[in-house]
This record gives sequence, C-alpha cells and structure tokens, in this order.
Amino acid sequence: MVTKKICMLGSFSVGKTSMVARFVQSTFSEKYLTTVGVKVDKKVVQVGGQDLTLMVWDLAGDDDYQKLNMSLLRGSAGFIYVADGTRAASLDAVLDIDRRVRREVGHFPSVLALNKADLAAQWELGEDRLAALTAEGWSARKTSAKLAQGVEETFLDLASRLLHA
Amino acid sequence: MPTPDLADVVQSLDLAVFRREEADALQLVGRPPQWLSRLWPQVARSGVMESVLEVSPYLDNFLVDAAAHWKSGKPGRAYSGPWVEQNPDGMPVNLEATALTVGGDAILLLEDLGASYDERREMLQIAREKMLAYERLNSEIQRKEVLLHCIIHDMCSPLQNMMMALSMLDSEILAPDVRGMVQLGLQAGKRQEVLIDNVLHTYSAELRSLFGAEGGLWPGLDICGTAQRAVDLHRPLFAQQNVTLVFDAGNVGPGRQPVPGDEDHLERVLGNLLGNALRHSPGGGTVTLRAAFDDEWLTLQVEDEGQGVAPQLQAQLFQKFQQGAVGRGKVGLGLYFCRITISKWGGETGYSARSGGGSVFWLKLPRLAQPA
Ligand SMILES: Nc1nc2c(ncn2[C@@H]2O[C@H](COP(=O)(O)OP(=O)(O)OP(=O)(O)O)[C@@H](O)[C@H]2O)c(=O)[nH]1
Ligand SMILES: [Mg+2]
Repeated sequence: MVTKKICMLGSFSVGKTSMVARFVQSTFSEKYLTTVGVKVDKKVVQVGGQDLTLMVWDLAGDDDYQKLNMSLLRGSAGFIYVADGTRAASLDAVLDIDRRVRREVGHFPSVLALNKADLAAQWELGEDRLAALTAEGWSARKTSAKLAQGVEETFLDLASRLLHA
Repeated sequence: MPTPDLADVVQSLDLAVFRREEADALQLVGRPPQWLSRLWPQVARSGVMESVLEVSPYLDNFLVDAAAHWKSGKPGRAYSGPWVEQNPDGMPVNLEATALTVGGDAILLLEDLGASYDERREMLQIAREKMLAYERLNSEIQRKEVLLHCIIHDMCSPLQNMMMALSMLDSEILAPDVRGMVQLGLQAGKRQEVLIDNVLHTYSAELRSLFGAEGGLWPGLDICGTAQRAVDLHRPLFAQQNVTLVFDAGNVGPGRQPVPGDEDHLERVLGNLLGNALRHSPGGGTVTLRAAFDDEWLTLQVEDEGQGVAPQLQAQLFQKFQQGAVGRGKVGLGLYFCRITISKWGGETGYSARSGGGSVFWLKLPRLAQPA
C-alpha cells in the first residue's frame, strides 16, 4: 500500500494536535497540552477507490520559543496548514510558515484549515478573508475539531491532491 | 581505585547505544535499557534495528541528518530533538536521539527523556498560556474601545442634529413662550454634550481626542513623522515576509500640517492599513504609503500589489460586522476603526483598485482653514 507523509503546520494552540486526534482517534479534549517535539500517527484512507496510508506528523507549534525545524519536513508529500479563526494573527503566522516552507523546502500540495469554527462569537476572519485565500489558490475551509466539522474533509482533500500530484 | 566498567556507566545512564552498520541497520551495543525492552521488544531481543522506517519514521528521518554528521567527521553531536513513541500498552515514551562518532564508529544514543521532558513541556506551556491570555486581553480591549466608539457615535449624531434644529428655530422670530421652550431644549442638549464628554473622560482620556481638540482648536499633525513611525514599526514584519515598504511623502513637508486629528490614533490607523496590505502582498512585492496635499485635502494611501478586492466585497470593507463562521461574528474591526476615527475628524476613507493590480486603501483629512 502507498504511504504518504504529511505534516501539520501552524502557530501554537491552533488545534493541530486536536485535528489529528479527531481524525485518527475520533476524540477531542478541551484541555490544552502544548506539543513538544513530534508525534507520528497513521491512518488508512480511501481516495478514488484506492487505499492510502497517511503518515501524519504532528509538529510543535511554531513561535518565538520554538522554531520550525525544516529537516522534519523531509520526505513530506503535502502539508496541512492550520490557523485559529478566533486569532487572526495565527492566520498571518501560518501564511508566513507557508512562505518559509516554499522558500526552503519547495512547493507541495497543501490545504488550509481555519479551525475552531464552533466559536462563532470570537471568530475574527471575515468572509472576505476566506474569499481572498481561495482567490490566491488556497483550498481553505472552516473546521471544528471539537464538533468534527471539516476535519475529515481537510485530510481527504489533501489525500486526493497527493494522488493527483 | 578500580576503573568503572563502561557498560555499567552506560546502563546507569539508561541509554540505548546503537552502532550504525554498513548495511544501514542499527546494531545495539551492550545491554538494552528496560524502557527499550518495553517499547520495542523485538529490537531489544534481537539486538538490531533492521528497518528503521518501520520501527520509527521519526528516527529514520533523523538518520539522514545523523549520516551527514558522521560523514562530516566534525567533532560534537547532532541532536534529533524530542519526539513521542507509544509503548505497546499505549503509554507515551518521549525520546531524543544523539549522533556522535566514537573511535571511528558511527554511534547513535537513544534516551528516554522522562521527567526532563515534562519540565520542558511545562515551561513552554506556561509561556504559551501567558501569550494567549495576553492576546485575548488585547483584542478584548480593542473590542471594548470600538464598542465605546460606536455607542458615542450613535449618541452624538442625533444630538447634533437636534441641537442644529433647535438653533435654527432659535434664530427665527418666535413667541416668547416658544423661545423659552426652544432654549430649554438647547440647554438640555448642551448638558447632554457635557455628560458624553464626561463619559469619555472617565473611560478613556485617549479616546477623547477623537471627538474634538482640547479647547476647540486642532494643533495640527506631523504627518511625515507619524507616517514614518508607522512605517518603522512595520518594517521588520515586512522584511520577514520579503515585502518592500516604501514611504513617499510627496508634497507634504516635515513638521505640523493643518489637519485635524491626533498623531497616536493616526499612527494606529496607518498601522492597520499597512498590516492589511502586508497580509495581501505577495512575497517580493512592494507596499507604498503615499502622502499628498491639495487645496482641500490631505490624502494618505496605502497601495499593495496583491489580488485586490472583489467588487462584490468592496462595499463591506469598512463595515462594523461581517458574516463570521456560523451566524454573526465581530470581524474587520481594523478597517472599521480606521473609518470611524477618520470620519470623526471630518475625513473620509475608501478603497479603489490599483491600476496594474492590487489595492489602494486611502484616507482623506480636510485642510484646516487656520494654519496650525
Ligand atoms: N472550541 C474549539 N477548541 C478547539 C478546537 N480545536 C482545538 N481546540 C482547543 O484549542 C487548544 C489547543 O489545541 P491543540 O490541538 O493542542 O493545538 P496545537 O496546535 O496542537 O498546539 P501546539 O501543540 O501548542 O502547537 C485546546 O485547548 C483545544 O481543546 C476546536 O475546533 N474548537
Ligand atoms: Mg500540538
């Protein structure tokens, strides 16, 4: 069976670990436990009638305390970029990571998750922002790891992009 | 004194020691520590890790960096950084690998980080929670400030209309009892204005400057200085994203210019527009902050080379509320803040498409009659 490595990228506390937990174990926890280092999980998905093993690398959030180590991305087939829709700055941060990745590692199939969409009252990203991202060519969607919305779609979207890459 | 047995030293350090073999397998040196026997019983038993990728994709990835280190012949070590594996019973094990060369042998040390990992995590956790709390507080303050602006705005404009209507009435020929009532109304209106002013004074001295100059006269603004401060503040962010930031003062000279407003708020308005432009700029692009004076207006505009704004979205740009994720969310406060600030000073804000692609966000402030 074909195995593809994908990495979760984004600022801290945006929900990278939560998205993986939702996707792989169908669980969610409200408690924030920041990730130090890397955890690798595997899940078999079906795309286009074909089985594909996704090897998901959950990386530590990138910030001033912990910079993303590009050598961890080696061998990746694609990336899931995650931003927290209740913190507009986390979208700027993840787009900055994307620019660094493209400069240092290259251009790979990617999707963008605007997570915590269940927190409507705190939501800071306007529809214009989403429209602009789509216009720039991003496959971006609102997700909620808490309510299991858009998470599976995000992973499957990337998986099918990997097959067609 | 007897020399300690090296194997005992390694054992007491609780390290798993591997030697990189020709065939790219990892050969266990000495006895396996207990944690290794629990984590990877097969490796501990056979003393060899054949397919590293199958055992640990993370370690396999690190072996590329390790190989480069071994080959370089450099002194020192290469570290893998921490990662997590799972025991067969599901318990997490936090590991770190170190590559070094000992007597010509390529050696890989594996360490169960145990408690030192928890300490490291705890420290980062605290730092990040503090950062989150700080961010939340900041955006709460901005939200409140905008809310206060809205309330004041909503209270002021009908009051001003009423006062104007009453003043006009007052200048007509009126029966004495009617004039008495009109003047009563005018007095009540004046009192109301004072009350609003008091509210502003109590809640934010900073906000007051938005609603009129102290003593009724604007002191004028150092446009170039303020623009330069906003530009300087943003320059590192622009540099980081490889976007050039240019300030073109045009025909606006240094020193105070005869326009209304205060410099702190203008700097924040410009900062909002610059941040906006940066978000929509492609790497390698240029953002220009341009100033120009004509007989009536001072114009400040921020031009970017991004995608521009779709026509159907342009009308909403400076609005208070836009559709959020599910239902209504409060968003786009930045541009809204710009609009209400500038309009309070009698100016205007707007958007136009940039010829050749990209956006122009502009603001205009009226030239004051009396020189500042
Ligand atoms: N309401 C809501 N909370 C979420 C959602 N996803 C994650 N969270 C919460 O956000 C916090 C951070 O989630 P994590 O998954 O640990 O974030 P992370 O990106 O892995 O963070 P780092 O490992 O520090 O980089 C936790 O308290 C989660 O419960 C979501 O969809 N909705
Ligand atoms: Mg995490």
